[in-house]
Order: sequence, then structure tokens, then C-alpha cells
Amino acid sequence: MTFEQIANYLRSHRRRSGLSQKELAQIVGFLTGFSVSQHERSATIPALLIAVSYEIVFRAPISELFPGLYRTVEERIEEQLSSIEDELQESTAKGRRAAHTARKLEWLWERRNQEAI
Amino acid sequence: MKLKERHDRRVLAIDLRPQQFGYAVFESDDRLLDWGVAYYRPGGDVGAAGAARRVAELLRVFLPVAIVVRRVRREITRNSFGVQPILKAIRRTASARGIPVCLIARKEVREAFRVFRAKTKYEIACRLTVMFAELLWKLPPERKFYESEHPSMTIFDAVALGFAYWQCNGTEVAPPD
Repeated sequence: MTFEQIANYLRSHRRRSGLSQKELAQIVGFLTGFSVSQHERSATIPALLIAVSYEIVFRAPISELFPGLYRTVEERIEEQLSSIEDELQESTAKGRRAAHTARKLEWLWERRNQEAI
Repeated sequence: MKLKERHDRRVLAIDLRPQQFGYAVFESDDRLLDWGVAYYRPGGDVGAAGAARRVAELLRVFLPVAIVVRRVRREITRNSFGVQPILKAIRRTASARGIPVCLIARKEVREAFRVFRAKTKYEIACRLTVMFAELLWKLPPERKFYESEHPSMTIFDAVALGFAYWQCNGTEVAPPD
């Protein structure tokens, strides 16, 4: 059996802290605990400011709080970057444009090597 | 930044009672994700459906690879009579998602805690608060012989079940219905 990625660890962090949904909601700026409940059940995706608030409250990065969401976005971005890289490698630009293309390819190479480290 | 891979297995441990169940979600033997008590109407199909609904919600959120339930005694007692239809409903819910149900006997739970010299339920609960400090505030005072059991104790029973699951490798896996 494969081990599936859990959508988020918001509930487990909140339970460990002892905070109720309502208390957490008040901290991050909601009136009721409804939105927190929705986020915990992955029924809705939190807005950026709320996600950052969760990160600050629990001192855990967004990628750890929402691993499922992070993985989905990561896969999509990596696909986009590799398709851009393919396009750049096939480009036949000359002069300044060629230097610009080379810089982008260099950055993509550096980025990939950083990941490996 | 590369997301840290977790290859641990998530497990849902359930302590079944006729009117409620305590649950604990583990991600490896030392990481507790969630715990609590779910209440439902006692008896018959209504209670079983209520319990199965709650379990289905936990399965959806936590995606466990196994459910651990305490083995119900064969002889008909007031407790086992009320729990049997609920266990069947939970097994149906689990098998619909291809999740195995592991049965652990009370004896195996006690065996898992023997190394800690914890014999009674309360001693086991105290030991669990040492392992999982987040449960400390839930620990009720030791009950007197004339008192009924505190509702929170079902959480500790579920956590003890989960802990026993990690301790004993030879747990019996019930085939899906």
C-alpha cells in the first residue's frame, strides 16, 4: 500500500497547542472558527495572509503546514520551468537576446543544482 | 526548498464503546496527529451509521494506512453486544477504501506497557503522557472505585492501542469484507 501525502497538518499543530478552532480563528483574524475548520478539512485553501499567519502562529513553514498543497504547486511549477528550459535551449536568438537566454539557462541550472544540495 | 519526505505510516487507533469511540491518529510511533472522542446514538443501525460516518471523515482527512481496533470479546457481554454492529460498520467503511483493520487484544496492549511497569489503565495513561506531553492536560484524576470512568480515558485507551500496534509486529489483519 502506498503512503499518501496528507493535505495539511494544521489540525495536528492546533491540537498540540491546545488552542480551539475559535481561538485560532481570533488570532489569525476570523470572527468564528468556521474558516479554520474548513482549512483543517482542506475544504477551502487559505488566503496568502492567513497561510502566513498560520506559519507565524505555529512557527512552522507553509510547506510543512500544507504539504499536499505544496507538493501540487511544486509539481506544476517544475513542469512549467522544464518546458521553459526546453524552449530556451531550442531558441536561435543572437546578440543581446542570446546573452539574456544564456543567463536564464544558467539560472535554471544553478537552481537545479541548489535543489540537489 | 525541498519538502522533507516522511515515509512513516499513518495509523488510526479506535477505542470502541457502545455510545462513543476514542480515537488517535499516529504518524510513526512517536508522533500523534490528532485525538478525540466521537459520540453517536447507542444501539442498532443508527449508532453504527453514525460511528461509520465519523470514521469515514477521519479516513478522508488523515488517509491512514491501517485502522487499529481492540479485539471484541467473543462471549456476549453488554459492551461487546453494543460494539459488534459498530465494528462491522467501521470494517465496511474501511474495506470500501481498501484500508485493513488490525485487531489488538487487551492482553497485547498490557504486554506492550509491561516494560514500563504500567499495569492499570491509569498507569498506562500516565506513561502515555510522558511519551506524548500534549495529552497531559487531558489526563483525568485517578478514579475512585465508586466513580465511573472519566470520558477522556477513552482517548488514552485509543492511544494505548495505537502504541501497542507499533510495538507488536505480529498483529492480526482482518481481511476486508
